[in-house]
Amino acid sequence: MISKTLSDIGNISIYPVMTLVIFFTVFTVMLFLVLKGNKARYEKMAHLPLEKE
Amino acid sequence: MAVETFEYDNRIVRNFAIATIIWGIVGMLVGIIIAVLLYVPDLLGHFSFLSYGRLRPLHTNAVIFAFAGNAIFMGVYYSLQRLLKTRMYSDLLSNINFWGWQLIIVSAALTLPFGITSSKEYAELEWPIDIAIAVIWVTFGLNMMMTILNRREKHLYVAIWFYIATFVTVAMLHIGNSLAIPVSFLKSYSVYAGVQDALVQWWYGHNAVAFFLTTPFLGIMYYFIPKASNRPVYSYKLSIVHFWALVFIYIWAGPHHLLYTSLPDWAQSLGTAFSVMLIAPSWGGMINGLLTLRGAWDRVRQDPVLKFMVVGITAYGMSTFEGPMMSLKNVNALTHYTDYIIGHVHLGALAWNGGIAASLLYYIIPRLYGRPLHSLKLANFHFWISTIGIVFYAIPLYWGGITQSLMWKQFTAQGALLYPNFLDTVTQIIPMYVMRSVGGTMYLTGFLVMAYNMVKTMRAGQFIPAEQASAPALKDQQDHGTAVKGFRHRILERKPLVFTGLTLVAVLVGGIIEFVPIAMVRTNIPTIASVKPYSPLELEGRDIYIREGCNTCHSQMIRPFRSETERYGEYSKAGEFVYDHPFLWGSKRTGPDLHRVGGKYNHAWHYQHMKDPRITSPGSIMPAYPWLFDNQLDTSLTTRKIKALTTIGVDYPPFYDKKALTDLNVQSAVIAEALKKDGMAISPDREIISVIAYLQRLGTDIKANQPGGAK
Repeated sequence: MISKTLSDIGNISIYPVMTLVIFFTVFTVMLFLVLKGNKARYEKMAHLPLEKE
Repeated sequence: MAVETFEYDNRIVRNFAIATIIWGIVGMLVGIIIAVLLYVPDLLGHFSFLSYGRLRPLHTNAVIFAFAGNAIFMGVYYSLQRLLKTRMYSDLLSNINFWGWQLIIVSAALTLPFGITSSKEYAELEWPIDIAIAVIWVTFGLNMMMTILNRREKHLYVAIWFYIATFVTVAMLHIGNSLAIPVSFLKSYSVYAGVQDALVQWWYGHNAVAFFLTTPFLGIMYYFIPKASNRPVYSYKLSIVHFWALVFIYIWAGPHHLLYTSLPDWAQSLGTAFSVMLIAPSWGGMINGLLTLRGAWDRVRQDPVLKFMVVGITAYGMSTFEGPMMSLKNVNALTHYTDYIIGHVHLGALAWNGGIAASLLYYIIPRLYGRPLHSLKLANFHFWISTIGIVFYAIPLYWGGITQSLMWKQFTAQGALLYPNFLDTVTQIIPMYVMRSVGGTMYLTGFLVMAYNMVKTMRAGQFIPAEQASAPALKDQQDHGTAVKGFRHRILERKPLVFTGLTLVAVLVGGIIEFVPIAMVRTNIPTIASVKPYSPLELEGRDIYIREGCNTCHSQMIRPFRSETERYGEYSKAGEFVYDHPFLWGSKRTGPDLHRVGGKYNHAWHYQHMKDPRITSPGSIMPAYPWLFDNQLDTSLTTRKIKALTTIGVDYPPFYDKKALTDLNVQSAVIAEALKKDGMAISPDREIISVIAYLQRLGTDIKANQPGGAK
């Protein structure tokens, strides 16, 4: 039943590939941005809630 | 640089705080009542509006949307203003948010006990209330986004990202899952059927946990832990990674609620894979929260705010480990449909959501009233009794769940089921149900003590409706960000609308990739020629099944295990549910699966069983449904129901709505006649006749040509 369902969907094989590509792209870009970030700035951001209100 | 003076709106925070306490008590009280109903089914007498199936959705809606919902608004309205150094954009929108939300809760309390329900878990409310929820939620979002745009702090702190993700995702989920075709003012049918409806429901259901019970509470954690411990968050980098990973991965995990069901296997596997990956961002959040307290553990011993936070975050870590483990198919085969899930959910709900809500109240109320907490001793009592209560709640259910599941799967040496009578597996775990209700009562006791403590604190202090603050306007602040070349995450943090758009994309991706192929299955579904739409009488019976909340205790999904096919019959096929608007697969087996109950017993058995389950099944914990024998079946909507279902693709013959009532009367007369022969004379126009018709139809379509089939 499942194989029939899958074969009926056009280009089913594109889904796992798309999933993998999107997943890795998102995470690589995010990690790159975060790791390249300025440490002093992160410190400042982390202190935002502790500033005088 | 000109410094501007402004006031924080404390009144709206106070209102949400009071609502949190009141609805918390109501929701938990209903929880205890239904916990006791599981072992004293006749506790409340035989009133339809007090039966288990109707009160259970009231409990879940009350604790999720009324208790946790108001706690979210309390935390967001308090922290957002302070993090952005501005008052909420509009007091009017804040008040519409508050009163609108309370009105929605009251409408839920006035509809669910009367059986006005869509049957979809955590989305039971009917379409007019759904529209109201959408409007009020957008009001909240608009107020928040406008406040962000009018801020005096350039950067959006991580807590605010979580609030934004909460707003956009909950809006998307709520609208996507609630699409329905109205039949009358208080009755509608889901536009999705069977497999698609199940996928959309659990895409919603799972992410309601993610984006209503997790992300806003994480945002709250990121603000209040540093405040209460006077320490900056452990790792800001980790918070960025953990945020994007969480919103991106969570949305894919819904299918883990449908393992071994008729959902296509690839979608199940996708759900499992992403659920396992979820451990990383979830634990990232937990670690970031707990490590923020490094060097400040002495404060945890003294401060109830931090105590509840620490236990809450730890429970969050435990639940988010348990969740991925239960998403593994071999573990899921054991835990699904059992009380283990209820234990798992309550570990999160009581310790994480309830704990963070308590923590918020202990932090906020003394500050709003300008005085210390009335009694630290009472707060400590609350902490300990609720923590022990959680243990008493969860462990018996873990134990009972696994025990029952193993009993379901136990075979004799000869290959027959060792416990063929489902009831034996229920009576075995009744002591666990008793202990669970004790645990719940302990938790509520603690909560009541907190409520008393809050009232005393409020009475002794003087409410500060508006808190003065000052900060330079945003345009006057020097822009350091552009001094550094290149794209950085912090630039994103200063562009709230772009940020919101990206968050929406992140949460849409998973949903689309999972849903599109399933939606295409609609036209290519492995159709089963013998599967036909429900007859008008069966349809009315099905609507009563929905009204009474039968699906809260009975699944209609037989998994392809020998232990299930032996007990219930042929495993369920996707093609059998193409006319099921909504799907009624259920998620818990307090009673046996009903997918193949059609033809298993005669009409007389069902008649007796519904009148008093203890007659046919001594020791049963099912409620009796005497009102089904008194109520006349309301057929005023039958024609419109058939029309509505035809509109959304159910294959009734052309103009069938015109002869629906005639068919209904013919079928009910046949059932009434059969009952009369068995000595149970009843008028054919009673509701019970339609319920029997529906139950006898269940799962028989593919049995039609088999010997012994009902048709």
